[in-house]
Amino acid sequence: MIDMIEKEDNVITEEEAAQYDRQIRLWGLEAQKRLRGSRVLLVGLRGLGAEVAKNLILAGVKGLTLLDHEQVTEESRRAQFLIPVDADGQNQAQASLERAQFLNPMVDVKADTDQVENKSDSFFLQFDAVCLTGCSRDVMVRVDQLCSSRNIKVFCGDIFGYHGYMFSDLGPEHHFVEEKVKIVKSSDETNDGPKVKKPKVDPNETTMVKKMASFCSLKEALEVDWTSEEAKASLKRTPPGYFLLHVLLKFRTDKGRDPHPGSYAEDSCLLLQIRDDLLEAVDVNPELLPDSFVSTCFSEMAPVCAVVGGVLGQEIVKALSQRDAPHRNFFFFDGLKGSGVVDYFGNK
Amino acid sequence: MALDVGSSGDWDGRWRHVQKFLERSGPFTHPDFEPSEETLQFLLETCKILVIGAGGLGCELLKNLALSGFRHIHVVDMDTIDVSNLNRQFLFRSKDVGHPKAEVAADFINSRVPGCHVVPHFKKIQEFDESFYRQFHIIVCGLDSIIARRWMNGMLLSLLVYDDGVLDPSSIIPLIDGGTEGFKGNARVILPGMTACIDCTLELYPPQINFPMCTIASMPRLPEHCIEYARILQWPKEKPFGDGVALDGDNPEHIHWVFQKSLERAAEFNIIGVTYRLTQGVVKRIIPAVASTNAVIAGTVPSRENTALFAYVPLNNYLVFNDVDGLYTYTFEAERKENCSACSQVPQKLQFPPSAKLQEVLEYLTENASLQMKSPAITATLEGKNKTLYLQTVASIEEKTRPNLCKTLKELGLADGQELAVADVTTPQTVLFKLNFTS
Repeated sequence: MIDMIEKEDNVITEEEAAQYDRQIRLWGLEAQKRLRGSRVLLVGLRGLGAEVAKNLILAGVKGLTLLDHEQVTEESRRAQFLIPVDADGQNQAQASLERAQFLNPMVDVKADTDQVENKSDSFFLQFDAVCLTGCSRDVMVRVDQLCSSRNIKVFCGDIFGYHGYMFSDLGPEHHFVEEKVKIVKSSDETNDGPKVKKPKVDPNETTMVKKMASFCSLKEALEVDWTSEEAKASLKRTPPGYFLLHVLLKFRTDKGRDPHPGSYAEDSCLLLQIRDDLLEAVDVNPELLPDSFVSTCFSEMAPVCAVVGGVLGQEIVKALSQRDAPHRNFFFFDGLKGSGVVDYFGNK
Repeated sequence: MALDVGSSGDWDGRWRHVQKFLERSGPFTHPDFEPSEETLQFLLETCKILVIGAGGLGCELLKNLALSGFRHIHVVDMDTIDVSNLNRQFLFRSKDVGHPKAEVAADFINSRVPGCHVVPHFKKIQEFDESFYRQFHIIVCGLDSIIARRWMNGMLLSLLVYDDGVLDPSSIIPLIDGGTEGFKGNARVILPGMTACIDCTLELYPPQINFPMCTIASMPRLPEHCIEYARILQWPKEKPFGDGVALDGDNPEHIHWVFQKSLERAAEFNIIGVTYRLTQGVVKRIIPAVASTNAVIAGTVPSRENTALFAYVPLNNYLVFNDVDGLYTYTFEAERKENCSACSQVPQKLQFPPSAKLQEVLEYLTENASLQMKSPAITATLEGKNKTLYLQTVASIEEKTRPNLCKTLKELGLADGQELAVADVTTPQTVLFKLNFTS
């Protein structure tokens, strides 16, 4: 009985109103209430995972489950700010839990130490949104397939050194609202007489417009047919991040881990090999992803985690609150150039 | 919280990726820059960074800088923590409300990142002089006021040393300035004396939202107009809490009074939308803010910093981020203004007829788009003595010098070619103007 009342509780408490004040002013009370009713699964608590966790917990979701089977190492501990200095050897999700919960006691934060591969289908279905970081391509494709048909929003993201990406699948029919400015015609359009001082700005009236966007699956987005004439023509405009992603996902599948600075020489060789093979197989010139990528894709650069984590976090907030246009369907960030690109891959 | 008591606290390859960046000579590197192992060591051991502001951007910046390897960081913030900060300033929790931001932020980082030492200063930036600022290799700002930015800008410009008219590069302290508002933000690199400074691009800042008085007084359409009516017209007239009691945005009773009055006005004109929250927002000029935007902008700072520190080549130094309608990032090179009142060293001119009143000069100083002074104090040397012509910030002097506003420049004894010294909150140094009489 109490659970039912809780679910239908549409009133924001005074504590919530005070704490969320600055963001309620940005996206409105309705959006905040939707967030408040959403449960999110976050897989992977390395640098990017920690940033996303921070952003979602601060935003005020109902619950966030941190899923990670890996143990804290010196490297992982230093890449993110949620794990305490004396936590080596503990489970990564478990070690991040206390600080994550401290960020906002109003969010139900849980740690799960299982491996994502071992989770049953029903596990994922309890969430409103799923965010996968550090996962293999197979896992991402499987979870995406399972969830998006049930209106569970799916997000993926990773950081490879200075490069990062995020992907979203909000399903074939994602509904949202956008605030549009009502164009108010100025009544005083007379321009005769002496030069009038520039009028001071007045906020215009706005109106909420209903919209719909459709998304393709991750499988489709990754399996673009590059042999078609159309695809070949668009190669010039394609962010190299897309091909980089393919190379690194293949590395992850083959080695069961990401490139590691400790085995730099060996891993660099393999990366170049994978790049050559992959791009050759899809008949794409290897020069589209020049050799230099190898020296900048190891580990997770903290500031790059912050940027991608910020964008990814906000995309999840937008999707759950059904407010504001979502990015379709990839965001690539190049930390060396400071450039971010949104691009769509897959059938439109 | 247990502290790491290792030697240098480093494992082989910890800074591999940072090292990779510094050891590359990229396309933007200055020809004189030699990347090396030494540069990395310098970065980690010696580099002293000052972070100004420990709020939305400040918290994210401190986290990013600490995780990126900077060890000596100072942070300045004059504020204490408020509950409304907690949705984004993640180094603070509800138990910290009321405590100084700089101190709580420093504590968090110091106990979390091995080897990193953050020194807090619970002070205004104006409470420090050049000897303080001179010790830093780089300064990063996460401020919430244009006035403060201009002050900081002016301070760094005042540190520049010129030998025979040539700028000594070792006197340059790069300034990285970031700002966010809602879903929008920007970050820019300023090399004082070399690239565009804050004042060079003053006109880029959008004007503050001010409604025309006629709209407020007789033709309101929006709930904001009703609130401004209560704030600007009714409060001074009715003095609800006593004579001389100013409207305090942090006093719930004051806000409540304004709220009630606004509702009455709104009812008169059939306007909907007046809420307590909106009333507070209008009176306090509250800016909506969220964690993600701050995370993104602060994230772009460390690499811009490396660029500034080691490249010294003016390049696309201004990044704009806008996540309102799709995602828009744009970088461009902000150009220096030839006659910038802050950094150009070109003497500023005031052109007025001798019959102009001092009031007109004052209006020019405040309203001119490139100057935008707030409450300028004007001084001139007359008959060998310094004479304050007008000063607003001290009540007794304001009263005494007020009659001067109605006097003409000729009546005040000013001559053609005379120098006027103008002081203002927007700059730590006095700005000298040359008065040219027009006929």
